[in-house]
Amino acid sequence: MSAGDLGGFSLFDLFRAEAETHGRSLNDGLLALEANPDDVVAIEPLMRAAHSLKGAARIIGLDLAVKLAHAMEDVLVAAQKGRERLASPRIDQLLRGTDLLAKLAAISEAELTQWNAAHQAEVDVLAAALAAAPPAAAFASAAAVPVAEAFTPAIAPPSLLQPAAAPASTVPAAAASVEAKTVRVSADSVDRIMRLAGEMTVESRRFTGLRDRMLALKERLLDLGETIERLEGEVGSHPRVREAGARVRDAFRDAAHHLAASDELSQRVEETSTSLYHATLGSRMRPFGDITHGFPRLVRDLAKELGKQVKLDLVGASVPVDRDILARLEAPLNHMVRNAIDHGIEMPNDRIAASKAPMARIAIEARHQAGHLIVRVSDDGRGIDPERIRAKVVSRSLAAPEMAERMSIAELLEFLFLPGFSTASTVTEISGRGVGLDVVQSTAQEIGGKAAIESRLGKGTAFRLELPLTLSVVRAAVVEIAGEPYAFPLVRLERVVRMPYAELTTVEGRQQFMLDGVSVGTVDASVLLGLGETERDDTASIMVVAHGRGDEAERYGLLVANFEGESDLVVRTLDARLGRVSHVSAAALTETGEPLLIVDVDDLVQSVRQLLSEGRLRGTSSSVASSQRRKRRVLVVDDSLTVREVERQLLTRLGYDVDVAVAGADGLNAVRQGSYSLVVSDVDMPRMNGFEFVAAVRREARFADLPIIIVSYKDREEDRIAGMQAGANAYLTKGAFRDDTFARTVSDLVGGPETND
Amino acid sequence: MSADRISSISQGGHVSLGEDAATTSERLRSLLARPIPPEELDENTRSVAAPAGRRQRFARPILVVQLGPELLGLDVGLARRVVRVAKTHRIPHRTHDAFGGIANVGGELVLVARLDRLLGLDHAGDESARRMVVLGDERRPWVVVVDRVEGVRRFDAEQFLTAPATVARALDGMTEALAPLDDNAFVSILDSSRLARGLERCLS
Repeated sequence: MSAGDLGGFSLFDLFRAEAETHGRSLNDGLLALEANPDDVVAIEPLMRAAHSLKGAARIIGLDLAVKLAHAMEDVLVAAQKGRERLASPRIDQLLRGTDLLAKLAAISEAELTQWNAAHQAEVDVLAAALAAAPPAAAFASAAAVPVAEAFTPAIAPPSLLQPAAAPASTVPAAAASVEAKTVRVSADSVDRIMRLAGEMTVESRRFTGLRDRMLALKERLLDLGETIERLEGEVGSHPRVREAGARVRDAFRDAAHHLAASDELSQRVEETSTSLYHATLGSRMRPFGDITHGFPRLVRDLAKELGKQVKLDLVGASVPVDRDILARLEAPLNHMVRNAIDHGIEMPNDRIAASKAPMARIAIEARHQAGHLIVRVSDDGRGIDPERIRAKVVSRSLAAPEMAERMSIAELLEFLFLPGFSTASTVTEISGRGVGLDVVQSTAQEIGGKAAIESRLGKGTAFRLELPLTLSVVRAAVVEIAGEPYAFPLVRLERVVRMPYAELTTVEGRQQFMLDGVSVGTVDASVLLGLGETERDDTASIMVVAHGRGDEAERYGLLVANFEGESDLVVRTLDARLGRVSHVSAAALTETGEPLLIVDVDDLVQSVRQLLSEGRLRGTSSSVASSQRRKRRVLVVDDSLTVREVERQLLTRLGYDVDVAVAGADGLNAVRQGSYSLVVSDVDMPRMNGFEFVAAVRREARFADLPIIIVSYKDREEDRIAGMQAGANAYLTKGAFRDDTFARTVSDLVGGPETND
Repeated sequence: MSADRISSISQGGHVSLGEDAATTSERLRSLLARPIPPEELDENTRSVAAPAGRRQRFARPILVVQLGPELLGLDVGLARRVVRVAKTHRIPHRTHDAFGGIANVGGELVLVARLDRLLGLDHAGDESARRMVVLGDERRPWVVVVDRVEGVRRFDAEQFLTAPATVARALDGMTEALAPLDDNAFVSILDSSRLARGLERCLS
């Protein structure tokens, strides 16, 4: 076995894999041991883990890791032999060692030397501490060791009176059993297999068309047979005619036989490809425990730091969750747990005073319910005082006092999700600064779910997330816009309305209709997407969407050309080269294998609101003839993406249609092709710079009067002169974006954003 | 397309002038698929066995396609696959006139560029003959629609003619050279990197 080639892995990769596995079992095992220090049997696997780590580190010559693992192993051996009892401070040391090894496993091979130098001292100190006598348990209040146990003899036999194992300790076991059966596959290749499986399902449906054609062929043979029979009746029995009749009947029987066989085959292929597809979808699932294995440690460390006693219950570690959702869930979960320990849970003495057990409980639960993933984080702490929220709502003028007075507890709790709304009077290190519960809610919403808080004063608080089971399939309304298929995710639709056009009435010339006694104005989705106006037929198909919640919500009716029905779509991300596409969140394939775009409803509604407020969008008007006014087009040429974006957004906000080019040559090409009212160019660009570009444009007679603005970082007078000599109408420095200089110059040169010609 | 152009591709004189295009291209296909005659095999063997200095240069394989009135040559390193034309879905707000949208090519959604607009040509001919050509590497593919695929043909780069100055010096020119055929016809060999840049520009 050569060190260079181990199926693409280096020796350091192998050490890393080992450190990851053993590090996790050390971490989990030490925590379990802390809760249950006399479980001598539990020490052995830890000892072996430390020993294996030492061995792995020795093979690749990681002396620091060898030293540390060796010191840890010695302590564990002593504990197993009964020479030492692992109290909380000792476990702290061992956990620190585990952390160091985990950090080492996280670096790249190239950083190794640097790491060694940086951590030499730390390892030396820790190894010495581990080799020394166990530190005294100075702060028993925070330790999870019950007071009575402090008096048990140091050498404890495996006790029959052991308390039931903490639930936390059962989790790693469950996770380990799941892991034993998994292999690592790159997410890309799983996605690719899924796309192919999806394509297979589409292809297998084509059998149906083939079958229909074969069925028609069979009918024709039957027809031919009957014709021959009639012929026989007319010309009398002739041996040649009889023979032809027999042969046609044979052919008909064969055709029927083959048809039945192909029917069976096509059905089998369709079933198999559907199962393949679902199995591939299923392979995206990972156990919930994948993201929770760090929490027992987190809870322990935080509780200790704050002098609180907390026990963590993890339920549903094996519940399968879509890996994309899982990845998004870790941060909000972390936030909720930190929040619970910091703000929710009381100090032990306060708990005793409130006649609660000093040991508080936090539970993280995951389960499937009615096609959703439910994640619940609850504590039995002090709960949230609704009156404090009410007072805060009033003091921050979020609602009028009389309105706040009437709010229910549930309504008041909703305020906790507002960005920056916190009832905690001090910001602590634990819950972080400035990051509020709004992160929890926005994450839930981004992945198509919702978040809710329940709380009872003095009893505890619970956060409940209701999330879709997978992000890879979305149930959506498939519609036609400008002749092409689009889909609106059903979770973002309030209603789909189909009504005769004639029943739409107008307010200020803008179309509206009544929905449950509420007037809903309509907007043409095709216009919003920049695809021109929707052609009208007799029936209007309207997607009703809402901005905001409850009775306060604004409703908009998005007019589409045709509502084709509901469908489960497998979501595909758009090609990364497209970047962010406004109003579109993803793509999918229709049942016939045609591309379809999934509408980003929130983004679309935002645009509607913005366009309305700028007076740039009227609802769909009653007359089909629209205004002849046209937007002026501006070309922005700049090699910096940031500057390009700033200019593009600024000009778009001013109401212009903006195109961009990334270099002088590119810009020249664009100028020649498009009809622009204005060109905005940078100076410093590779190959053809801004001055050369402007000069080149000016050399063409038809662009002699085209307004050109140069925007540059260069503010020396000679640069300005060079720019004007090249033919620019204005020379601005990039500071012009900070005030209205840029906007004024644009408007001076070309007039307003709209033109009547 | 005119039949004489197709026959000129065959060059060997196996195809006579004046036949209608369908038969000719059928013949052309059978010509390309024919077994190698023993004398040609011998000749090639001699050529390969000869010392390096005397060995004839290997000819460049080029995918020849027709777009409007012109024959275009795409390096086979760039043109990876020819597939049936799939429906293209436009992308809202992406208004570059040479950007088509996305199409489902073998289960993958691939970006579509309008080669006709990049080159200033108009599609012509029978729609059923149109094909999509997949260009570029696997991670960043593009597809373009051409009017007809003539097949892969080897050209000796030493015979190439330079493109006219109006194309070679043009900012958006993409032709690297002209590969002459018989009777004044030629294939415009497209420069792979200039074409790739042109495709990327569609995204701006």
